[in-house]
Amino acid sequence: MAIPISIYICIGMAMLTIAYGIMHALELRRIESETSGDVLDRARQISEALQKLKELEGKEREASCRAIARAVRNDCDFLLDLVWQPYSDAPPKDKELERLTNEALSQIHHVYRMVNWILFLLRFRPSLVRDCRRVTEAVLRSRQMWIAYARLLRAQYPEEYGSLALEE
Amino acid sequence: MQHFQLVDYIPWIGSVISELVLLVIMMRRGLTRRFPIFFSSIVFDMLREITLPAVAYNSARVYSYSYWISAPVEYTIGFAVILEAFRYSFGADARIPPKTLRWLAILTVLLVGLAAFLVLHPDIPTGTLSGLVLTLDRSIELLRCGVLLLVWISASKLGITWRHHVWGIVFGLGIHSGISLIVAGVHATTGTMCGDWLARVQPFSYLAATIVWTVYLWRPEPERGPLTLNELSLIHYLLGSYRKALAEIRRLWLNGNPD
Repeated sequence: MAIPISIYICIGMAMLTIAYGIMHALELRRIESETSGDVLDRARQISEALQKLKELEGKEREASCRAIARAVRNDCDFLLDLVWQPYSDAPPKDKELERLTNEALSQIHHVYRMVNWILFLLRFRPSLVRDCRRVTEAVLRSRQMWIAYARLLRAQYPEEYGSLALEE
Repeated sequence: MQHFQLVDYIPWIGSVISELVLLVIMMRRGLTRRFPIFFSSIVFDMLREITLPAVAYNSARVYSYSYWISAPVEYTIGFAVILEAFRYSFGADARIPPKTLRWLAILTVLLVGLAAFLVLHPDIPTGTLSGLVLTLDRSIELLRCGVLLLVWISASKLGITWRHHVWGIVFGLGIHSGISLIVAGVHATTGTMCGDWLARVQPFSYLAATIVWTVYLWRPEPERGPLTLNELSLIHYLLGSYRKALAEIRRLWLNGNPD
């Protein structure tokens, strides 16, 4: 007896759902266990990778771009958790804080989408991103994301972070 | 009650105990206000698991009807729980880019079309009540799995972060939905309604889901304080170094092709 196609559809969809759920659960555990020390290490790694990038060519450059894009995405995950956590518990009543939170979230989401797209292209159309222009744009944009987060902190805790000098 | 064997009591009693613990955790942690629909779904399932065996004790036929009558309520609440989790996670920044919305709309239409196709082209005759129920059950399970998958993928692509508790809810639901879809798929093809070993897998998957919910909601949400001034200053110093390196790369680009 031939196995009907409906069985393949059902089992395929079910396996996809379970596999995605387990993978994402593991990914969330990684994000939850990240510390600020990891973020600093990553920032150093991005900085070093950017400095070496101009000396690399071909596959090496592609691998470096991928590593930078992944590191920026991990930064996005970390920052999203930091910004979203207090917001979801108690949304800010102050209009300015709400605006700055939304601005920070919007910046993070923008960078997140950029690096996701870069990683997608690196996997399926690497020739489009081999020159690393998109990655450098994403890194540049990630600076704005960090600045938006620092602005939010400065508004939230003016006494602790008031002395922090930021680019306007 | 003679239809039940010892192996049937494990997921039944296990999930009732697990749900009871879960309800107590939710009430003590004040999570009932945050996830009212999920709380209602657990109350509904627990009541059903207590009532249905009592019905089965009197009549297997009435039990079968009661089970299938309660199934649409369970599915409706299940979809409402997904919506609740989705709204909770998308609450702060619900601006979904039009391109993503278009993709979501297309995928939803495809999913509904696929579910409808499986109803319109059944593998078993749908003239009988059991055939119709099995075929519909398969399509609804497919829809539930598909909606969960769409929500997960779109959330991850949009950079929506799942908090620990809400993720636990959808993760447990995902495991149960996935296994239920496999069971429903096989049953809708073979025309078997119950009594085989596969039918016993589903209650075990529900037990697994209740354990996942209990563990996730029992653990407090991981708290992370903001970065300190020193850490932030160091990051800003490193961001400055990004800018220098990027400026050099751009200068090289202007002077010639980087490839």
